[in-house]
Amino acid sequence: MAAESIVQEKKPIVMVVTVIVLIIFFLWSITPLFIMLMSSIKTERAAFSIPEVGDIRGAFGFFKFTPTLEHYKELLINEGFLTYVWHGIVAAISSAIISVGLGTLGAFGLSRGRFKQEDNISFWIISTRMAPAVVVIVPLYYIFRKIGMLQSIPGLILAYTTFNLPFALWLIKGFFDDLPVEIEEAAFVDGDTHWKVFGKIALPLAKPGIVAAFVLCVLLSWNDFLFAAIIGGAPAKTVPVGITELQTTSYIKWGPINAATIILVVPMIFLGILIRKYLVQGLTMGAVRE
Amino acid sequence: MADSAMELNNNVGERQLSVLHKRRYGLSFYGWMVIPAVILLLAITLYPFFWMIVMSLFKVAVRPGAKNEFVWLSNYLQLFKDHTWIKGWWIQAKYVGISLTIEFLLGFVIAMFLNNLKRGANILTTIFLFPMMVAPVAVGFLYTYLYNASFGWYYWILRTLGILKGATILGDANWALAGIIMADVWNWTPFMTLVLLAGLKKVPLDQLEAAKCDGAKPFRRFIDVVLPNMVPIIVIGVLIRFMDIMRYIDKIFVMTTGGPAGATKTQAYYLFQIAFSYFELGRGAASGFVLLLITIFMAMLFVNIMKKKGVQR
Repeated sequence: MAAESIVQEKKPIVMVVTVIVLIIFFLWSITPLFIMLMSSIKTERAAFSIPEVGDIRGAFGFFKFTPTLEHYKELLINEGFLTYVWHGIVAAISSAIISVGLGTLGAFGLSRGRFKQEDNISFWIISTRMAPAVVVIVPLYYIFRKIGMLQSIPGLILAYTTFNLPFALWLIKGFFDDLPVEIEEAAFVDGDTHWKVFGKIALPLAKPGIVAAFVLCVLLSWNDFLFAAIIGGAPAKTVPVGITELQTTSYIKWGPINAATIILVVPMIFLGILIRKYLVQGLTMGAVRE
Repeated sequence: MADSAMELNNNVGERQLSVLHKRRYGLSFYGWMVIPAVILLLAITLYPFFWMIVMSLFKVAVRPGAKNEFVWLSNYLQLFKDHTWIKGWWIQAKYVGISLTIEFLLGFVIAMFLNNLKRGANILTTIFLFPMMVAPVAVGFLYTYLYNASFGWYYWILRTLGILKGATILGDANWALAGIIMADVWNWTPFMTLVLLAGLKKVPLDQLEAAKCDGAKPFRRFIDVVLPNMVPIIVIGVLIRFMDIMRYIDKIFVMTTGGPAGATKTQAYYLFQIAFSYFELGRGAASGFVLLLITIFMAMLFVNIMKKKGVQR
C-alpha cells in the first residue's frame, strides 16, 4: 500500500470522484436485495403500494410498514418449502462430497504424476466444465430416462457432479501445484508410503483449497435451476424449482417468492464471505489468484 | 481457453524422484489416483457427448422405449431452415455481446476506483460480491418484481427519470432484452470487478514508477503499462463470463420465457424449448451440438486474437 502511493495521484478531486462512483455502485448492488428483503416482511398491500410516477416525496412511504412473517409461514408450512430446502441441501452436499472426494485424489494424481497424454486429459477435464448446461442436459435426460434415474435425487446428484467434478478437480489441482514437492519427496525417502505422504503432508497443506472447492460446489448446485427442473423433477424439487412454481399463469405469489428468494440467497452470501479469500481463484478455476 | 489456463497453471517442474513413479499393475500410484475421477467423468460427460451426436441423427421417440428413427442430417437441415432458430442466434449475439461489454467496462472502472482506495476496499469488495451469490432464478424474479408496472421500484425510477416511456418493461419487445441484460449486469459485474482488481494489484510497481519518471501522463501509463500487463487476466475474465452467459437460460425462463413475440428467445433458450417443450430430443441435440461447436470456436478465436495482441506489445 505504501509503495503504491508513490505512483498514485493523491489529488483530492480523484478521491472525491472515487468515493462518489463507489457509493453509486454500492447502492446499485445492494438496493435490489434490500427491496426484496423489505418486501418479504411486508404485507402484500404494503409491498404493492408505491407512489405515483414522479411523486418523489411519496417514495419515503417505502419505510412505513409493520413487519410480518406471514410470507415465510405460508412458504414453509403451506407451500412445503422445508422439503425443497432439504432436497437442495442433500443434493448439493452429496454431489460436493463425491466431487471433492474424487476430485482431490484425481487432482493430486494429475499434479504429481507423469502422463503421456497429460495435456489432453487436462483439456478434456476443463472443457467439460465449459460446455453449456442446455447442451449437456439433452443427452443426459435421454440416458437417465433410459436407465430410470430421471426424477430422483440420486439422478440429480449425478447430474450436479457433471459440472462439479471437473470444477473441483481443476481447482484443487491448482492448490497441489503450488505446494513444494521437496517435502513429499523427503518424506518418501524416509520410508513413508504414498498414502502417508498424501494424507499427512499434501492433504493438510491443501486444506484451504479443498474447503473452498467444497463450498463452491455446494453453491453452484444449490443455485442451479435447469438440472433440478429437468433431471430432478417432482420428487427432487429444490428451492429454485419451487420458486418458479409460485408463478402461475393466473397469479404470481410475490410475497412467498420474495421470502423464498431470501431463504435461497442469504446462506449463499454467508458461504461466499466464508471463502472470500479463494473466491477469485475458485471462480476462474485457479487461473487468477489474489 | 484451455491453453491459457494451462500455461498459467503448469508451473510444476519436472519431477526427479523416479521411485515415486514406479508402476504397479501398469500404472503408477498417481495414475491409479486419477482413475476413479476419469471413469466417472467418462460416464457422465464423454458418454453423453457421444450420445448427443448420435441423437442428433435420429428422430428420438417421445415415449421412452419406443423405436428411434434414423434420419441422417435432416435435424440439422430443419434447423437451418427454421427462422426462429436463425433469429435466435442474432438475439443470443446481442444478449451475450452487450452484457459482456457492459460487464467488462463497468467491472474495469469499478476495479480501478477500488484500487484507488487506501482504506475500506476490502469490506467494500465483500459487499460488492453479494449479487454474484444470488441464484440466477432469484435474480430473474428480483428484477421481474422491480420492473413490475404497478408496484416495481425500478419501473417507478425509470418512469420518474423519464427514461422509460412505455407502460411495461418486460412486455415491450424493445425493452425486454435490455431488462434481462440489466439483470445480468447486476448479477455478474462483481465477477469482472474481482478478477480485474486481482489483475490491477499485480501490475508491477517498478514499471509504473519508471513510466512516471519518464514523464508519462496517467492515461499513457494506463495504455502502455497497465493494459499490457492485464491482457492474460482480461482474457480469462471475459472468456469465463462468455462461457457462463452461453450456459445459463434461467433468467430468460423466469423473466420472459422468450417473449414478447420471441424478442428474447435466444438460441440457447429455443434449444431448451425444442427439447423440453416440444420434446424433440433429436433436434435439440443437433441444436446443442451446433451451439457447443460455436462456443468452442468463439473461445479459441478470442484467445488467439488476445495472444497476438499480447505479443505485439
